[in-house]
Amino acid sequence: MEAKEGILMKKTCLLTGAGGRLGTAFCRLFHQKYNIIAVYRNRAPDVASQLQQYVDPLDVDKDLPENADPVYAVQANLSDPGGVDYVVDIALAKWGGVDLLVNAAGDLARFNSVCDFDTQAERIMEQMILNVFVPIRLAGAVASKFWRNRSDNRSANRSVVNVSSTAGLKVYPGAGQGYYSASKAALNFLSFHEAHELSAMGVRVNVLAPNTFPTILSTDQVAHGVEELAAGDKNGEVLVLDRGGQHYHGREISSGGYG
Amino acid sequence: MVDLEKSLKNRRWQRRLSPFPHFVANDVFADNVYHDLEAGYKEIMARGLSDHPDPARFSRSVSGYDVYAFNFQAGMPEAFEILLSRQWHDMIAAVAGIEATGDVNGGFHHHAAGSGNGKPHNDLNPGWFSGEPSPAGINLANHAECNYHHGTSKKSHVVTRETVRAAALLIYLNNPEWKEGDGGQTALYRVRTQDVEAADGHAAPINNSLLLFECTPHSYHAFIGNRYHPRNSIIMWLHRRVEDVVNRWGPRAVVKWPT
Repeated sequence: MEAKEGILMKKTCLLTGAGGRLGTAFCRLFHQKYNIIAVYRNRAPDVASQLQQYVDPLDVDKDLPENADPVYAVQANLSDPGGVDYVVDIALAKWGGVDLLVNAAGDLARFNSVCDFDTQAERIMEQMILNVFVPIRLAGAVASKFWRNRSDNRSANRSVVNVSSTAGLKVYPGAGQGYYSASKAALNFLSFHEAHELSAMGVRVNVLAPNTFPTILSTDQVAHGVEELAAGDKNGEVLVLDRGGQHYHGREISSGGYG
Repeated sequence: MVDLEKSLKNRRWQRRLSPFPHFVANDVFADNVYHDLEAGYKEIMARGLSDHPDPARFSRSVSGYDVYAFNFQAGMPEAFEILLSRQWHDMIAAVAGIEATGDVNGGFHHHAAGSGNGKPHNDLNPGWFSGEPSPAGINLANHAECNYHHGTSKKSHVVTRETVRAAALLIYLNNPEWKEGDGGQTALYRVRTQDVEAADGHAAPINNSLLLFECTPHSYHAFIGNRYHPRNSIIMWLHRRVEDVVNRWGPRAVVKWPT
């Protein structure tokens, strides 16, 4: 929280994929730190919101800590035309700004063979739109509507965290992850470019690349990874969370020309 | 003596507002309690299924509904004592926010694999009882003595009394692992005329979970056909005075049973 004119101001987080494991864990762990706009497609996050609260069946009038600082849940299909602007407009109307954008919505679909494109083309394109283009469009929409003052952005440490995967960094053969892997690799590189562009506006962009959760990593570990990137000062980095621990994987920036 | 503190595993039930106020909870009972409930259910199932009304076993006794039902009655396995206790009744009434009479009806529902969809309905129906609840106990519907739907009795000395269903509770148990696409959920609707497949919310038949809602003119719900696996549940209703319903929603709110 930040002090502004003597008032403690909570930061605002626009979180996609809020109904998933990671989104729900992030809401549960950080709802006191952020005003969270929790965007979900089908299943609302399993945390207190304007849609649901918790009750102790043996003491229904008891104030439960889980009900404090509820998230604001927004149902949206971000792949729909207008879906991106819709959630950004709601975030701005509700809290007046966005300090942290967490793109945690993802399409995990696996396909038999990368060579079998034509029979699965529509589904593959859906995955690409959600995993690659929606995160980039969301950052663009927030930037154009709110991140207009470099000084404010820097003082609020505004940033984007794009949730990728170790599958975007290395090949897991035989797992049907060809297109998923490609979508995450594309997200990584677009994030690097976005980091470069938005740094001029004082906004940082980083990537979180976890291995599988909750089997190999705990979901809470991954949620804390998001927060580490949000609270730090890194820009254009990939925080890799893997079996052996975590490390940063930086972008390589060409000193000139183009490839 | 029932000890709900020890019998309940989950002390955080979710109160959801959409499409109408309802409660859901997973891991409701302590493991040993749930185990006993499931064993009791199997014990009754072992008596076999009847395609004709038969009060001694699961039978097709609910007109127009693709289900085998077995009513709560004396002589049930001891495991179900908790559900027929005054403590359970009062807890459910407190959570649902109703002033209940102590009258209870309920039973067990078995939908064989391939059972058809139900139709949206609100459960705001009459419930007729003989006898009176004691302060320390409940008054369980006695179907041999009093017709629950219409209050008729084959015994001339029996005095019957009309109430209205106040809260409906479904407990899911003895089901195979559920996944999206299996069907068998309880679907929730905003209006009665909605397409049964176009629900606004669902409660999935996950073992040891529950769905609870106050019966109101708007509590529309229906069974969604189970495509691959049987669906098993316990259903029970608490009741309220007729005049409470009339005072709140008017004299035409109660949905009479077909004659």
